[in-house]
Amino acid sequence: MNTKTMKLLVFSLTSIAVLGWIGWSVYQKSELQSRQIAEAKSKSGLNLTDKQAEKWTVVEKFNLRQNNEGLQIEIPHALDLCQDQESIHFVFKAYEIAFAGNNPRITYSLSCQTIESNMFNLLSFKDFTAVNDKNSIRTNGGYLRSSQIYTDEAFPESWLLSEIQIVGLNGFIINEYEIQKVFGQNFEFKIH
Amino acid sequence: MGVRISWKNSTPVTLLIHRSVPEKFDQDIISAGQRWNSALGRSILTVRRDNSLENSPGKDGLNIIYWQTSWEGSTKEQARTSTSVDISKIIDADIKINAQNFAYSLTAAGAIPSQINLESLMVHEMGHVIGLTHFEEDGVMQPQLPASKLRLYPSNYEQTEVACEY
Repeated sequence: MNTKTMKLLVFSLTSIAVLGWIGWSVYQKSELQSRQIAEAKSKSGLNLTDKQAEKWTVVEKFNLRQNNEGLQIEIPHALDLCQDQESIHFVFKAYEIAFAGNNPRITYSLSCQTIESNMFNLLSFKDFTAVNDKNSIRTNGGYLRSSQIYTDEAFPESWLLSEIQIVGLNGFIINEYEIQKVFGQNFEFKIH
Repeated sequence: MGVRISWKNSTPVTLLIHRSVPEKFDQDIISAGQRWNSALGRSILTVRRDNSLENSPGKDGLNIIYWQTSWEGSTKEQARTSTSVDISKIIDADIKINAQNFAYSLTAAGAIPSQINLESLMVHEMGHVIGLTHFEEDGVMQPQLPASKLRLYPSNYEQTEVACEY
């Protein structure tokens, strides 16, 4: 191997290392900025009833991401869903504390009348933590209301998506165990 | 209603009476715990006073009953039981009694208009401590306790719910 080849080899290896490091940094930064909480599994091979299959379809298209500002709720089929339904509700549950035996809950409600496009809504933590027993909040095309969130108690840290409620003529509720079935885990997140 | 969270096999649960609670109520508070023990036929709650506690309400590994003369929550709320939960197991519980907006009576004093029977209230809150939620039908877990009302005995349904979990 002559000197010229040697230099070329060293240059190539250095370039690969630098590019790799830059790529890894960018990847890590994007992971920090927006964390996809769970990914849907395949329903093939499962023996589902028609209703279960319908629920599965709703859930698998749905996605929830977390970044520093809040929760990115994605319903790429919101318009389809709203054709014969009245409203969509996301119920979040604080799972590490209970008052009077019930976990605190925050519900994010969206009326189908106001949904004009497929949804990629950001639910800010600022709004999320502002709702309590004394007020509900209008936010981002919908409103937030709570149960068992008290102004004189610390705001709960650990949350999960507990239910998706589709309200309408043939409405249905998807509970956390059904969500867990599709994604293999809960949509959990922390608020500090 | 129903027991969805519980102490699993970590019973009996010790509840400590904080020094903020007037001592004249000790016997009624202890009796409230015994009513659940009698209903279950075994000891699930142990209640005693501990005047050395410096704690304030929160997750501290101790289960404490506080008497709050300053109440920041709803004025209609007679008491509040909070429980810390690890998956479905209760690991900590506190009861706060709203002593700002309500006056309380002893069971031995009988029904006193405009006063809440503290023993009945404690039977209800201790139901929350062991994991029960509210229940609209007759029993100790109805959401509101009217003044002068005695509600001391868990219903058969409430006993069954607790027995299933413990």
